[in-house]
Amino acid sequence: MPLAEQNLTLDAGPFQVRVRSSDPSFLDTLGFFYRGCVRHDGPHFVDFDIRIKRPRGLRRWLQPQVLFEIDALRPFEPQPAENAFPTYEWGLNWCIATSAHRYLMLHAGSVAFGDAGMILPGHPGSGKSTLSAALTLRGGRLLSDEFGLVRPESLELLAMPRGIPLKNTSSEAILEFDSAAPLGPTYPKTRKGRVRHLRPDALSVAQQQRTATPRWLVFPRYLAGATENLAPLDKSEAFRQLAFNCFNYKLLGETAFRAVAQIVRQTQCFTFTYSRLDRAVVQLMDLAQATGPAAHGSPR
Amino acid sequence: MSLPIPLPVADLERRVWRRPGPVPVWQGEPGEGALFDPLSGETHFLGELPALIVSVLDDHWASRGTLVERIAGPVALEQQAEAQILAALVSLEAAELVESQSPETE
Repeated sequence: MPLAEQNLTLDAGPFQVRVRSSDPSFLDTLGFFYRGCVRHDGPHFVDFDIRIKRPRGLRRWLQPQVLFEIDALRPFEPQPAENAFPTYEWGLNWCIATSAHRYLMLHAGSVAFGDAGMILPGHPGSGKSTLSAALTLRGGRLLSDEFGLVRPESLELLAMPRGIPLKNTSSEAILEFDSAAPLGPTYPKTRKGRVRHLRPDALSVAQQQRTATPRWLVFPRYLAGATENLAPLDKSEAFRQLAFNCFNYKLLGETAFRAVAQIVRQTQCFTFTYSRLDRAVVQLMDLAQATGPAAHGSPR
Repeated sequence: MSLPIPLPVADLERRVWRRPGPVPVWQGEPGEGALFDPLSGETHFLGELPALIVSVLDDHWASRGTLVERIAGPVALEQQAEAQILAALVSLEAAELVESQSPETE
């Protein structure tokens, strides 16, 4: 007997997301990742109204596909049904990136130690998601692996702890780093290659309304075989690189300029080349503990 | 009014310069770091001399001599230095951060 469409509301940091689906596999995976965020009876107002559904006709059964709908619109081509969860995750990213311009949006991982935030900007392949994942497995509080969301008027870093997509060999690197890391299903054939997600830890999810103050700006670069090297970065170059890694820099104009300038001014700025995840995490944790605000107590 | 390219150096030396529009926003102190131009919405990463020129120009026309005095004080600059200032002004005009006109137009 087919499952009735479920109507769930998720807390995703500053956003409320309605998710509707009758796909049992997708709903199971959603529960695995966001059990602590899911409500069966949510508020009437939501930021994004998303539906994950099977198309009508042959593709419902033959090489089944799944559709991503946002506010009843379909911005993407149908995807293989087995990729329903990553389709939902990337679709939600798209929704945020195209509409949440009330915030400065950095293409960055962000992890907090107490109330002090470490921003890790970088393009795909830089290792920011893998580093963010590893830092949270060692006690850092996950803010985001993809969006560094900043309130421009206060420069608070917002939390939006979600599943961290680990592409291709990154999932193996995380399991080598921590064999007990809670990873979800493997999706072998997505548009970004093989993907597996790390579930956000319960404490990061519970504290997702707690903001952080940017204290460190670390531009990571994964380079196979490299010796770990954390090097101070000139403020002018840090500005240039951070602006370049800001999704909505041009759109926000002077607001973005001033916010980026202030973030650079108030943070310690570094480039960070690494190859070994275990050594990289030790070095970044040492930085956080050695130079973090004296006021913060436990790592969380 | 944008410059026709190229102008003879003698013509360039006679032109007057100014920074149009609202005061730019600097990353650091005036003349330091990146610059945001509210008129165009563009962010610029200037070298030391162009940044200095933008920081000392305002919306009043100034001759090259006046500009040199603002930058260097009442000293005589070597010909090479004056040529560098002129080249910087030309590049800043191409970036629409400053504008120039013939003094006869005033």
